[in-house]
Amino acid sequence: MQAELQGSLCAVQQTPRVCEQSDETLMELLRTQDSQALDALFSRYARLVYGIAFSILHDSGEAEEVVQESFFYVFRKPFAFEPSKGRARVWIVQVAYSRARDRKAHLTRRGFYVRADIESLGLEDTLAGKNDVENEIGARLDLRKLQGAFDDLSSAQQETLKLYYFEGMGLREISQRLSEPLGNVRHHFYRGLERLRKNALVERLQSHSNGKSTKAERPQEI
Amino acid sequence: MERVRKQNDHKRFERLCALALTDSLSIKERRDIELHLQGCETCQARIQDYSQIGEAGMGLVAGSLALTEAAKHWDDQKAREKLESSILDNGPGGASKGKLD
Ligand SMILES: [Zn+2]
Repeated sequence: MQAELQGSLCAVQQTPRVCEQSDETLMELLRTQDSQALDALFSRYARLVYGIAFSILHDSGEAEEVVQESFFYVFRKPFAFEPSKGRARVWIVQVAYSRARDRKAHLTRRGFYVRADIESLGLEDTLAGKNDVENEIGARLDLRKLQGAFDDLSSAQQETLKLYYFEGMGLREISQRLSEPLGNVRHHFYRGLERLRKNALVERLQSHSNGKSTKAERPQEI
Repeated sequence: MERVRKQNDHKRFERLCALALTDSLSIKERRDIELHLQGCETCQARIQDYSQIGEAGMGLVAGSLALTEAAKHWDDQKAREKLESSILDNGPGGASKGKLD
């Protein structure tokens, strides 16, 4: 049986009760199709979602479409959010980011080969979290630290990661765009991503392949 | 000496973990990292980290970069109303649209 919409999507009609709830509680309320909960989440994150989409798509209309699609999905599929795997904010960002990238790929007809490469590597299980560390992902990385960490990357690393993740370009294409050898671009990509990872790693789980703590290990250029 | 060599060897796989997400691996590199991943939990975790950064983390970065510009001046009212109307049009739990599945 379909649940009734509770209230309308109007910020001024949010009750204090809903506004004061945590994101995770709002996600729970969404399971009963509570549109006030959606309204509250929209108020908190629509601008962030728009910002993500705009930075990838560079078009206001397209970015608004991603906002629509993302929150429509959040409303329709609240059960897809698993609290044990991380914060609701990160999940919403993930929903928005993946839609923006899909749209970018659709618009530019690029990006599909990356997925094909992963499949050909036989890495789907690893990337999908179907191994021993599945439940540790949320705990291993504090993604909020990435925002500051990105600013500390070299301009070449920032440019490479932006072109790859926001523009949907492959590394070979980036190499041509920047007139740099592919080897250099690979280096920027790896070093940038690794520095982000090190910054986001939750300290208690930092460990080296040789068993030594990496607590004192700082990001460094090679 | 042997330990240093092993560390250097492993550094190569760490790089390949990041590059495995891209279109830039040679056939030999693909084969090497695939074999290595079967026996190295450290690299399995590492490649998940990179994937997580790519799937969600860079979204946060994108948001924080964009919030200083276009998003600051964006009027969300139109999008709010459109969302309300699409939910009402479809009805709660009704037919989904687009990429919902
Ligand atoms: Zn390894």
